[in-house]
This record gives sequence, C-alpha cells and structure tokens, in this order.
Amino acid sequence: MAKLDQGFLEQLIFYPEYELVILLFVLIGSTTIISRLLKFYLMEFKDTSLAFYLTFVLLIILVSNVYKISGYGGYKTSESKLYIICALGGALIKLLLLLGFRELVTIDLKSDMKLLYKHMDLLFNSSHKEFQYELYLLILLAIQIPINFAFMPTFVRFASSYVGLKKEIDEFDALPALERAGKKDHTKENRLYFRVFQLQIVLNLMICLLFFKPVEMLHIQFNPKNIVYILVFVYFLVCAFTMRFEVQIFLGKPYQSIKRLLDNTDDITLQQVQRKVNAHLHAVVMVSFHILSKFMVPLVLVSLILIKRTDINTNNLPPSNGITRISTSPEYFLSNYNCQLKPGIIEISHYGAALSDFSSENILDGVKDLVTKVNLYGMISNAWLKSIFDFFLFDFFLCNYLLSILYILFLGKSELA
Amino acid sequence: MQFHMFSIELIIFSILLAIFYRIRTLKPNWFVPITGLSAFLPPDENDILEIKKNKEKLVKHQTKYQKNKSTNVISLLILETTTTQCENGKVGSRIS
Repeated sequence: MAKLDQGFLEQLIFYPEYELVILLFVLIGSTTIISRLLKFYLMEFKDTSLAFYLTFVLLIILVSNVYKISGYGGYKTSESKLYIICALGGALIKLLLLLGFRELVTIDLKSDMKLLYKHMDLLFNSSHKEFQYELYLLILLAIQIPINFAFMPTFVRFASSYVGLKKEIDEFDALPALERAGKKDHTKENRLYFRVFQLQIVLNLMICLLFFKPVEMLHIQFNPKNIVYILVFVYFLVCAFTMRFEVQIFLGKPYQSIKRLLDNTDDITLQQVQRKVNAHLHAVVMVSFHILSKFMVPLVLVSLILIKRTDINTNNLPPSNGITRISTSPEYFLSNYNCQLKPGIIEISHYGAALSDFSSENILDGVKDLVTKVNLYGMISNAWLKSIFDFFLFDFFLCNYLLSILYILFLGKSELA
Repeated sequence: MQFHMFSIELIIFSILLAIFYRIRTLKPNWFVPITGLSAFLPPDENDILEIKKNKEKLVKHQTKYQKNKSTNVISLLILETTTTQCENGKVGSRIS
C-alpha cells in the first residue's frame, strides 16, 4: 500500500492532459467570475467574449482526450464494440424523439436554424432558400455518435461502482446480529456515499425529464430550462464530492487478486498478480479523466450557454425592436425579425469592378457594414448556439441515465443469481 | 466602427495565469485531486516469504490442536492476521 505522489503520477500516460484540463478549468472559471463581477458592479466595458472561446477550447480538449482514452484499447475489442452499439442506440432514440415527438421536447432545432439563416441574411444583405431539416438532423447525429462513444465507459464505471457498493453493504447487513456486533462497522462511510450515488441518479432523471414539456398542458407559464442549469450545477457539486471515492473504489479492486497469493504462492500466480496490479496502477489517470469528464462536460456546456446569454442581452435582435425570445412564441418572433431583405445587392459584378480598381473605396463599404453589424448583433445567432449546446446536454444526460440504469438492473440480477 | 484591441478579461486572465503558475511551482499537488489516494503496489518475492512463514505457523498450530481436538480458533486468527496484513499494506510494500 502506498499513496499516490506527484513523482509517481508524472510517469503515467495522459497525466499532462489531465493537469492541463483542471488548470484551464480553474483559470477560465475564475476569470469569468471576476470579469462578470467587475462588469456588473464597478465598470462597463464591451465584452469581447474571450471567455466563450476559451471555454470552447477547453470543451474540445476534454472531449478529444476522453475519446482517445475510451478508444485506447483498440476498436476491435468486445467492450468498444458494445460501446459503439450503445452509442448508436442512444443516437437512434434521440432521432425518434426529435422526429416523432418534436412538440414535447423543449429543444427547437428547426426554428433556431431558421433564425440562424435570418441572422446571416441580416449580416450579408442576402436571402437564403429553405433548408432541409432532416439533413441537418443527420449531420448532428453523425457528430453525436463518436461523442456518445467517448462517454460510454464513464456511465458503465459509475454503475459498476454503485453495484459493488450495494453488494458490500448487503453482505454486511446479511450477517447474523452476533457477528455484526463484534465487528467494526466499516460500511459507515460507504453508506453515505451510496446515498450520494442514489442522489446522482435522481438528479440525472430530473434533468432528463425537464427537457420535456408536459407542463404546458396545465397552462402554467414556466420555463423549465432555467431549472436545468441550476440542477446541472448541483450535479457538478455532488459528482465532485464522490470523485475521489470512485477512484478509490477502482484502486481497491486488486485486493481480490492479491488475496489469491494466500492460497497459491507459485511464480506463475505471482506474475499474474503483479501484472494485474501494475495494470490497475497505470490506468489511474485514465479512469479519473473519465470520472472528471462526467461532471465537467455538462457544466462547461451550461457555462457556454450562460456566457452567450449575458453577452448580448437582446438575443441578436436589433435593439429598436425590443422583443425578447422568452416572452413570445418562435413563430411570432420569426415574423417580427427586423431584417430588411434585399436580394441580390451583393453581386459578383459589383466586387469584380472593385477588384479591378484597388484605389476605389467601394470594396471597403461592404466590409465596414459587416464589421459594424457583427459588433452590434454578434457573428452567430445565440438561439442557434443555445439549441446546439442544449441538444448535446440532453443527449449526455439521456445516455447517462439509460445506460447506468440498464447496467445496474442487468448486473445486479446477474450477480445475484 | 469600433475595434477593441485589448480587453479587461485578457488582463485578468494573464494575471491569474501568472498566479497559478507560481502556485504550481510551489505546490505541484494543489490542483490534482487524485493525489494522496492509497493504492496497492505489486507484491514482491519478499512478501511471498512472509506469507509462507505465516502459513508454516498455521500448519504447526493445526497439528498441535488436532491432538487436543479443539477448534481451530487460532488458525482462523492467523488467517485473519494475513488478510489484515493485506489490508494494511504489509504485503506488497515494496516498489517494483
């Protein structure tokens, strides 16, 4: 038994990435909090949305590393094949929800995509045709499948640790009262963490359910998405509380294999045990990366949404109009979108003439127009970004809940029998 | 038309970067949450020798108490001591 030091951890693979992710997370979080506080209480300054780009970079680093780790053993192993099948299943469930029950889900991809087109028209003074919603969905699902594949091991790991804890507690409870009285209750700490694990599952279910809207049937004006963001923060805190414990459960697993040495002290068994314990030691950072990503990714997605919401309050609307998106339905908002469509203003001949004569300032007029508009309304419409991040958030929690519950039921039954 | 060449966010970011870099050089374990967790090290040949000694003791006790036809309480106790050694980390105490 030894304690993990800096010197030992530095030898392991994926350790620098792990440290980088944590450092970036702390840094970006503190900068955004400090800058927002300054902005609200002390001085006014125009936001360049540095925090948004940095958090986006953090998200890309996190997801790419998690994808590398989950495919580390190769794609031909039985585990990764199972994960690919699970990812496909999750994507198909999502497709069914968005095609069949589109009115029930709060994520409105279609109208938000229309808003993006309108926004582009506003920026470039052009007009677009209607887009294909099904093609857009398919592209999103194609992005979704590898992301699902990356996060599958985290959900399985959580479920396996849950089942192991439950088994340990049940074994202690099944002992006769006389034997239990003599022993020290070593499951006291485990019981607390078991409750927290149950709380995680309940929180996950609540977040999943809040993406649906049966609430509108009751004719109550209620936006459940704001509660989702608060619940994701609570989920982050709860998972951060159990993070060290989950890694400790993984580190305690070689105890069973070391126990084998009491019966057999051959060289072959010694080699086997050594190999197994070494493997467990070398996979510590990978496992902790997975457990870290489980609660960091939803928080990063939510923070991206919230940063964009506070960046430009008017949701990319021209300020004279003054209609917020929350108070009105998307159809009404689409009809009142204040953009004057002038088809065919930007013509090739116009720029061709300008290019032939560089001395003329006509070439800069379009650019000046564009820069002022981007400064005012932003590059991309916030509604579209929000819907995309909401889409991946919902996907993450749905897959998390479904897979962990399935695994707990299946593994619990198979090991009891 | 307004261009913002520098922002306050960037200044705060750079200041915090310097502070965190300083903290990392002084206390490298500060930001890594998995340091300090206990782990089993791979067992050595010396550990097996210890186990063998314990086993010999166990066999001796068994032969003693089989004559008296008493229960194998002590043998059970020794088995428990070996398992506790596993738990406390005396087995596998050397770094390979």
